[in-house]
Amino acid sequence: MTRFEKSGLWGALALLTAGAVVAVWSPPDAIQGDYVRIMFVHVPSAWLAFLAFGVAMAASITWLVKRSPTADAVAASSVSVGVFFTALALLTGMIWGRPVWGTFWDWGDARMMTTAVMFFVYLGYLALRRAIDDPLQRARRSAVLGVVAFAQVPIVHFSVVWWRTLHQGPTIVRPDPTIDGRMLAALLVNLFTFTVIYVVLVLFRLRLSSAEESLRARMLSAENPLAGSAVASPDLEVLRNA
Amino acid sequence: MNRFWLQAAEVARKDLLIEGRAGEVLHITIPFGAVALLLLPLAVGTDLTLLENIGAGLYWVIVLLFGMLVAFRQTADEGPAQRDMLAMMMVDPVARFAGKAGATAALLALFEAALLPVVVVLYDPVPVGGWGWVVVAGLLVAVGMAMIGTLAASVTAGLRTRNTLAPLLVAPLSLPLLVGATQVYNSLLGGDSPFVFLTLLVAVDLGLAIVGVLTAPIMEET
Amino acid sequence: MPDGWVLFAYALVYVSILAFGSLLARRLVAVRKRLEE
Repeated sequence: MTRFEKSGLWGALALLTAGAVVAVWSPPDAIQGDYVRIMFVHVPSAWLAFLAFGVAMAASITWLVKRSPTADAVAASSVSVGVFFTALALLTGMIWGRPVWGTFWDWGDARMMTTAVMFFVYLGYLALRRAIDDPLQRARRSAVLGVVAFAQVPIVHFSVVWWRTLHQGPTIVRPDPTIDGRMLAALLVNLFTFTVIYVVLVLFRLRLSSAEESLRARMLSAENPLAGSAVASPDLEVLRNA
Repeated sequence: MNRFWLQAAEVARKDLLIEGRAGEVLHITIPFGAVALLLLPLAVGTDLTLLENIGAGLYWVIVLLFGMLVAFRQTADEGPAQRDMLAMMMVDPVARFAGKAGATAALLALFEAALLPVVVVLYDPVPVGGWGWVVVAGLLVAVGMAMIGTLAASVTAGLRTRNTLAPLLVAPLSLPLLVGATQVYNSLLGGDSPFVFLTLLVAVDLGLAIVGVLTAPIMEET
Repeated sequence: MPDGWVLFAYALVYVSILAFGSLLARRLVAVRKRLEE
């Protein structure tokens, strides 16, 4: 592992620790008590999901315009990391909901619904990539899906919001945590921490893909030695000394 | 411009003719949807008031989940050879998309119409004034699903896992259509105007059309 | 001592991130080793 990569790992670890420390230092909420601390891992995870998929969309558009293999790799890596953080966002949201609002899944929360839909759409993206062998075809189809998938996020979100306004079902009275100065600081620190972790993970994922590509290319060429390489030029030294 | 519509109409006609001969939608998908509607009360209970209330919603869910199979029918799957032939005949890829989506929309409308009596008989949903708007919503849903289905089919064309992957891609993307259709009915039930949700459906359909037009030439290269 | 739910949430997030990161790092090292052969 290169020094850059090692420092990346250690830096991420250090920031993660700092984030945890700050989360402990932040005061408990007036209404939610200690449960508000879950916000410090839930909100950054959700933010990262959107960032990751937005980056993937930008990379997909770049591929469609420039046909650059790097753009395709960035899109795929970003979606992988994005799906990971989407899962964390959903899980932490459910863990937050249970003790605070009494239910794992709040049907009234449009954002959780949108996040869940995003999760499944991008699982589909990863499944699509896994199903295609040819790199050009894979890049092209993923790019199209990468753009469409992110473009539908606002549409899905608004649909659910409008559905909510008509469907006044059991409304969970949810006081937003009144942001104390220290809470805000803790949140910002964790947002920064998680963003750096996102960058580190994507970089590692990218380097892994590139290394696997080189390995695959080398294996393919090794299996097919050039025809005729079995025929060598005559060794004149041997003949002369015979 | 005329040539575009002629080509689209030809592609649609070809699709519908094949469907007419194979009869997959008529003989297989419609009964499949009907069976699903039949099975559901066994799970949720046959209390008449309950069924009255959920009937309309279940109809739309079945239309979406099972209707997408109409878009993925085998007859719609064209191999690289057929696509090359169409390209050599200078068929505009956007016209191909429009024709295929058009044929699928027509078949979906047929699917919806066929399942309507089934849901009325089994669930007896509450009738609404202004049900004409529900029909309009149905047509908008048919067009929208047809476009999503055609897009998903072209993205997964030729893949071994196409039959499972394509539905996975379509299902979450059809959420706005589901919300639009069900809320048109619910608004009418509540005596409100359905126009917000009709506008949603129109907007989604327009967006899908734009996506289809933009991506058709790209997918042609595959 | 914070509540069980809070601890669970943090444990889940931190362990997952560490696991994902170390998985990527280990696979990277392994693939590079094979490339050098």
